Parts: sequence; C-alpha cells; structure tokens
Amino acid sequence: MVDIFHNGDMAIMPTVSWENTNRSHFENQAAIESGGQFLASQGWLNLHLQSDYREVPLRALNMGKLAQSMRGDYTVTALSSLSNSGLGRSYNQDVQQFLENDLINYMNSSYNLMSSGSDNRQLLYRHGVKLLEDLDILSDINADTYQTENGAVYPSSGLADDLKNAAQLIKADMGLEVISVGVGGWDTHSNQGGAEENGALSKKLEDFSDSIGAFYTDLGEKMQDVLILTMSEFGRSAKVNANIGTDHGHAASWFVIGKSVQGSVYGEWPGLFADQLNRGRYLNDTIDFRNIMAEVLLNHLQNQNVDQALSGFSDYNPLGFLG
Amino acid sequence: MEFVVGLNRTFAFPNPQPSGASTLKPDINGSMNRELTNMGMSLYRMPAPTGYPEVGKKWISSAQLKARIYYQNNLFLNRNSQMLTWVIEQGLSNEEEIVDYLLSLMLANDYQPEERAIALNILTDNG
Repeated sequence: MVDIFHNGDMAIMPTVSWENTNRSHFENQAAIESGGQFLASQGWLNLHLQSDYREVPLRALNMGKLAQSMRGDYTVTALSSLSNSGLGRSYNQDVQQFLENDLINYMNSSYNLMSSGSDNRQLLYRHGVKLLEDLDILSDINADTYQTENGAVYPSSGLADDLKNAAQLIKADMGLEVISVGVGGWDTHSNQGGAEENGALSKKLEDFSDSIGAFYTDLGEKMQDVLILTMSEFGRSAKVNANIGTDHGHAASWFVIGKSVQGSVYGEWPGLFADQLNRGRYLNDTIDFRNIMAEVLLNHLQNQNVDQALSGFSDYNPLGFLG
Repeated sequence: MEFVVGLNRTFAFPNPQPSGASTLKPDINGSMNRELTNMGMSLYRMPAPTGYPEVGKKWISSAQLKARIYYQNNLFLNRNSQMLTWVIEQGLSNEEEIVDYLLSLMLANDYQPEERAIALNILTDNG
C-alpha cells in the first residue's frame, strides 16, 4: 500500500471516531455502519442504494457475511466466493440437469409464496429470489480462469480472494456500484507482536496491505472511477497491556484509496502524551467518521441526500480528500 | 448449525467425502466444517460475547441460503446417499407419506398447502 501513498492516491485518516462511541465493538461497529445510529436495521450503503433506482444486472455485492453497511430493504447480492457451483453437484447427469433447471423453477415458486406474511418469510423471499437471479447473471463468469492485469499478485488469504473476485466483477461491467468485503481478527488483546516479521498484528497488516495493493494494481486505470474506503471501529489502547497486547481503544485508522483521491494524511494529530490521551488510555479522535461517509456519498456516489443515509446527520464538513 | 446437526442426526447418512469415501460419523474436520463456514457458522469460531445470531434479519443473505441449499442437495443427492434405504426403513410407501413425514420432521407442520404441493411435485418428477 505504501506505493499507492507515494503515487498520491491514498488519504490516511488515523484519528477517526465519533462523539457517541461506546465500549462495545458490536454495538459501535453496527452504529458506524448504520451511519451513526445504534440498533438500526439499515446500513448506510443500503440506504444509499435505496435513494436511487438503477436497472443494472448487478448493482451491489457483499462478499462473505452480510455487512451491516449493506443490510436493509435493498436486496444486495451476497457471495461466499465467485464459483459456478450452483445449487449442488451430482455425478448423475439427470440429477445435475434437475439441479440446474427444474429445482430452480421449484425454488422460485417456493420463494414467491413467501412474498407476504412474517418478516422472516419476506426476507427469505427477497434474498431467495435474488439468489436465483444471480445464479443466472453470474453463470458466465468463471473465477478459475481469471487473469489478473498489470502484474498484480494477490497473496493467499480470504481477503485477497474476495478482492480478486470483486476485481473480476468490476471488470465485467455489470453495473456494480457498491461492494463490501470484510476482514476480522483485529481484537489483539494478547501477543500482538511488534513490527517483526512474525508478529501477529504485523502479519495481519501485511495481508491487508498486500491484498489492497494487488487489487489497486489489478484494476489499473479503472481506479479513476473506483474508490476503496476501509472502515474500522478498532482503535486500540495507546499502551501495551499485561498480555503483551492492546485493549479496546478510541480513535481508529481509516483509508481512502483511488486515482480521484487527494493523497495526504488528514486530521489533526492529538498526541500520545498522557495528558493528551482520551481517558488517559486512548488516542483521541479528530475526525468524525460521518464526514468521511458524507464526502464519499456526495463526491463519489453522487448522492445529494447525505442526511438520509447518515441518520439525519446534516451538519457535515467534508475533509477534502475528493477535492 | 442446528440445521446441519438436525439433518445429520435425523438421516444418519454416511457423510459425503471429497475422495468418494464415506464415514458414518459426522465429519468434523473435513467437509462438514467447511460447509458450516460457508453457512457463516464455523465450529468454535462464534463471535464473543454474543454468539451466532438467532434471528433471520441478522443472517439471511443470498450466499447463506445458497450454502444451505447446496449442503442439503449434496447430502441427499450424492452417490453414497442412503435416502432410499431410509425411506423404506421408515415404512413410507408413497410420495404423499414421504412428503408429509419430512415436512412434519423439518418444519413441525408449519407450512402452507402450496408449499406441500411444490414438495410433492419435486418428488413425483424425479422420484
């Protein structure tokens, strides 16, 4: 990722949080992804997708577990990986034929029966019908024969696999507007390690950096129109704990990457001296995450109704990383 | 996870193995755990402190539905499937009995007549 920074295509924001933060990763992460509201059912990217209708084959994609950002009334495509496995595999040709044709028709009828009734039935209807549509839309895409471009080499990891699938689908020009990819393992309470090669955290950061670096290289000039936003709730305590790890913190680092980005480090640095820390333990925040989301919504996604995606937040103040 | 354990306990089939071999014990280290991961519930990796979500709103997505459909199709349609033996052992003699028994086992009879009709069609088309 350091090359991206030197190219001037990366905004680094090391002090991101918000005024209403709490000490539960789950609640706070969900609130951030809901545009600044606790216990919300809709994510900020889903609210964006709802704000505007576009007829394209594949508009929104979630790799892995459905992220809170993508959850809501707009039914997004979710994939665990980009493979052509369909609804099953059989050595028996008649059975295979059944899996590829008749079963899909039967499933379609079953899901359509669920279009009314309880919330869970309607969820099954929406996501089930989406699944059957996507099987058709994605049937021509073969992840096994995908060739990366510009000499991009993806590392061997779940994050890299997801980003590689995402790059292939972006290049397939199916109208993709929003993709969500998740990566866990940042709760480094013990044996976090330092910058040494085998340190637990440094290995995770290496994978994070190499995966995003490969994605950026692979997309090449397409990065003019593609923006990567990395969001995290995982600030850590400023001091090491007794288990040689770090505990729940306050401000976290976010990155925005793309050829439309004004590369720089953003936000005032609050300092690490004891009297500058939040509650004496945590790096303080100087950037409200909603200002980052607002700028992405306004300048990249061309959505003027920022307050609708950010739980009524209208007092936004863009940082200027998109000019 | 309840779905996978329930299917395996109810039917007690040999588990499908990539190599074509089979075992009567649930295959914790092989395909089953991989399938559970695809279903979003890796064994022993539940998020602390909340565990895996119980309500549909928190987990339903097209990928999760696909993983579940794929798993059950693989279980019933693979070459080692003992479905026919199982049906005979239960003393079920026609398609209506089979569908009614399966629906009562899996859905505790909480289904609509149209859903039963679709299940019956699937069975008679390919039985």
